[in-house]
Amino acid sequence: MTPDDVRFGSLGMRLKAAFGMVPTAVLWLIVVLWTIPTIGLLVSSFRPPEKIQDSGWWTVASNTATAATRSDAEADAEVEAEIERLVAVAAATEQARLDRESQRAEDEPVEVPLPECSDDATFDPGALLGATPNCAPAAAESVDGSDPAALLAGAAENVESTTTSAADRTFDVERPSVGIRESLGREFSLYNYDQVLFTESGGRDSMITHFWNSLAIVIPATLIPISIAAFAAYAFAWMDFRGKNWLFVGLVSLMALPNQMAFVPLLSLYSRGGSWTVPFTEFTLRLFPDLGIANTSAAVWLTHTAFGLPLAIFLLHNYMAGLPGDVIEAARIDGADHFTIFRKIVLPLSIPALAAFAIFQFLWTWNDFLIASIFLNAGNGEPMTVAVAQLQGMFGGARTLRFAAAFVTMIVPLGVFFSMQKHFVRGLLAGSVKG
Amino acid sequence: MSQVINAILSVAIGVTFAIAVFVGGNMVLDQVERRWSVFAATIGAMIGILAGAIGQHNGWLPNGVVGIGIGTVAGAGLGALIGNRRAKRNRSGLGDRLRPVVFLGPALFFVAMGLIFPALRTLVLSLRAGKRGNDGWSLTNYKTIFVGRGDGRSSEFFNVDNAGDIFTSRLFITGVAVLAAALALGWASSNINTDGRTASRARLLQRTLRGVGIATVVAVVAGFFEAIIRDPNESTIFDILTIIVSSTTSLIIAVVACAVASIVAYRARTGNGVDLGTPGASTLVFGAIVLALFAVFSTMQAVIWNNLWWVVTVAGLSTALGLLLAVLADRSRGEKWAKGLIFLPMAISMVGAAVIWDFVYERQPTGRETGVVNSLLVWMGFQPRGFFFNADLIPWNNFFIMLIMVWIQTGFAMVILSAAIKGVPQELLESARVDGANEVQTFWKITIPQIRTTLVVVVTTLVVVVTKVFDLVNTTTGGANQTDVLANVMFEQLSEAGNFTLSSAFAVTIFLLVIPVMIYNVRSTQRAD
Repeated sequence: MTPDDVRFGSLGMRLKAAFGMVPTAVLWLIVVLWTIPTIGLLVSSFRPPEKIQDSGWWTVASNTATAATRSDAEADAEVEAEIERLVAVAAATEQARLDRESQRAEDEPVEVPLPECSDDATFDPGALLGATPNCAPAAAESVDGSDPAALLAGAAENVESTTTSAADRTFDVERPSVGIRESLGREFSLYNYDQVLFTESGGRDSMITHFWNSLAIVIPATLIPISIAAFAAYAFAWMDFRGKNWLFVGLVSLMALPNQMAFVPLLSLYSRGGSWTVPFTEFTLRLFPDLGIANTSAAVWLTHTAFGLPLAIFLLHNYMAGLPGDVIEAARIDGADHFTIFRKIVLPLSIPALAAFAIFQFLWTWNDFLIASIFLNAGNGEPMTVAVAQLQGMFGGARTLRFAAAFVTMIVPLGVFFSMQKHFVRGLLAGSVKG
Repeated sequence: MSQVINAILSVAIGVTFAIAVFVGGNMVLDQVERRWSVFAATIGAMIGILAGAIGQHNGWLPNGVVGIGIGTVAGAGLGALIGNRRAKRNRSGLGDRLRPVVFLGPALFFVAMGLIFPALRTLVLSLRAGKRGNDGWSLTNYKTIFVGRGDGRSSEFFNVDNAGDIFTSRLFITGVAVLAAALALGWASSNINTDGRTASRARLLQRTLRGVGIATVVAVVAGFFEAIIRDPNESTIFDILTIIVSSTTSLIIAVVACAVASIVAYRARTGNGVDLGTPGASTLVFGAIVLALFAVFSTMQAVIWNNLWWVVTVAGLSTALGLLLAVLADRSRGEKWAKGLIFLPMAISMVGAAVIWDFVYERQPTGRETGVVNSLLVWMGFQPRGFFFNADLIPWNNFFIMLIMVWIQTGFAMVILSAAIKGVPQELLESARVDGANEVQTFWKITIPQIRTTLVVVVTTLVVVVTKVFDLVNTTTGGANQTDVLANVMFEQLSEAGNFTLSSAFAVTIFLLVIPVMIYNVRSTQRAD
């Protein structure tokens, strides 16, 4: 019994115990807040497009519970009814719009405006089912949110304008395709993943292609800097030469050099090679050949290699310098030269540091968006991040695919992160500050 | 698939080449002691190859192998000649002295080609005129950024047009109030040690002021949320307050500033200083500074001001939240899992984070909200908002993008600070507790000073990262609705406008913003060595 227990009795003890739970409660409250956005993305990526646009992802549980009480026949009937309703609404609004237009045409001949979002053509089902009100965001904001009829009309208008040409204005509303019919009435479907991973439409490559593109950048961009930096780190850690400290500080301080400082010259180096005009003369000396790697993944991973080196040298040096000096001294007395020591002793012992840097560089290059979008034009092997950003920038139906696409990009880094969290944190604590 | 095979091939070629150069270099160096002229000839041949290649490239030598062959032979011959004529005096140990060159060569080559020369070239380009830098030297680009395009309007990237509005912004006014409270609190704290009567009065004052401080914080937070959820057409108590106060604000601020300055000066002279070091007062001072900075950045409205706002908000909030989480995690159950989940956003791409949060903030024109935030607003009976686009939320739409960055970076701050907190010696904490310090006092007086260096590292790292923020802005708003930042403008000038020189000037501007932090980092690295 502590004095406190004597004073407060069992109530005090209970209060004290309850008070001790406060940090845990607050912490986990924040953790839940922190995780909700990601869960929302994950759940939404498995929902059919029209559901994503129609109800919050947190309603999934209650909706599934309701759906479970229905028989198959009832569910089918419900789906049919829903399709009929949507088609009827679309048809009615289409008729109203045609009426309006003919009225206007009588007043004055008007040019029919071009459809604003051509992306919709790539994704009809979602568009038909009311997924397109974002077509003109400014206009969409002004639409009165409380009037669904007006919105459906807007949606139908977009559908119509993309599926029929301006001259040919027959009264025809497309019926939903089989795929969307199957997903209708369900809470979960793999429709988004099917579209994102395997369908190439409207100049958009499938995510599988982008996945290979990403790998083609990430593998060289991770392995090459490691092999180069290991030599340099060894030299800084175990060799003596003049200006060593000065050179090391110079290299390490490059970590803080913004990558932006190198983009413009590198871009022209990759596309035109390097040349130097001697000052005060017209004489131009070609110093670096045009390697023809502009717009290829080689341009991207070469850039990543250069940008990753300072951090790699810093991390590996710190680790190698901490290796036991006796072992290396003994090897040197036995007549081993630097190359042998490096290969036989230092390299095998440095595996943890190599792993830590590999994880960093891997995540950094896999998640990179800036360098890839600067050095690659559209259709030239862009990685997944660029593809997701394109989906994010689209208006209309294709936009509902962005959740599945984003989740596909996250799987690999999340896997790496969870399986090698220890290395990652160790590298972070070793002072890895990426510029 | 084919891309990956290509990539693996290029890796194989690259690594083989690097190792070949490395092993070959080592072998050449092994010859120094034994066969000096062979070594000299090899070095000569290597220089010859380079010279031959350049010559061939410029069209001075015949194409094909001939040019390089001529260079190699000439270089080798010259090297052997010089090697034979040189005395033997400098030879001993030369192999060892040159060995670092082989080890460092590839790294230095890549760093020079990929970072140093490009950076210098960027500096040069930024000082030239014409889109590609062909029109001679000029300061046009910097003028465009900092002054304007010369059409009579001030620059959209940096201007002080709204400077006058700072003093009438409610944040600034609240900041002044908080500062006044902090000064009063500090004054009260410094009085405690005099005599009994003053002490009790001071303690009363201190408690009152602490209450005032908390009330101010609550009011500011409430005001902020009110700004988000209120109907823009309705005037509120805050608006009325602003109108009343703002008319006389400038005068009051001047008077208050003079009064405060004279009081501080007087008390410093008489030895009865204002003690701003107490936890309460220093927190209030910090809050006042943050409020004032927010007031400046939210009223100034230009790209560079936006960037600075990003730095202050994200570095500040992430560090503060990370510290809080680190402290909480230290005394909670399930620490490992909680930390892993908070840290998780660090692993995913910023593009992914932008998609995630765009959905959180999403606004459906149908009125059937699917975004978490707007659903909550509707559920509580407020109007839904377009958090990135609503005109009446400008400039606070910036803040909602910044929150995404805070979401990402807090995990980083937490992990590093958590390790530092665990490193604080237990004896120190124990002895403080034995001396009667409570948890709050132990935290402010022991833990914080102990982890000071780590705090500085976290903040500087975040500052560097946030100054270059690009992905989030580009994928959420693309810089529209006054949310642009330097890195995004730089990118647009480069890939859309094709204006290489202006783009370079923006890169240099980012660099200039990072330089103070960079110098600081170099110095601390040197100190650590």
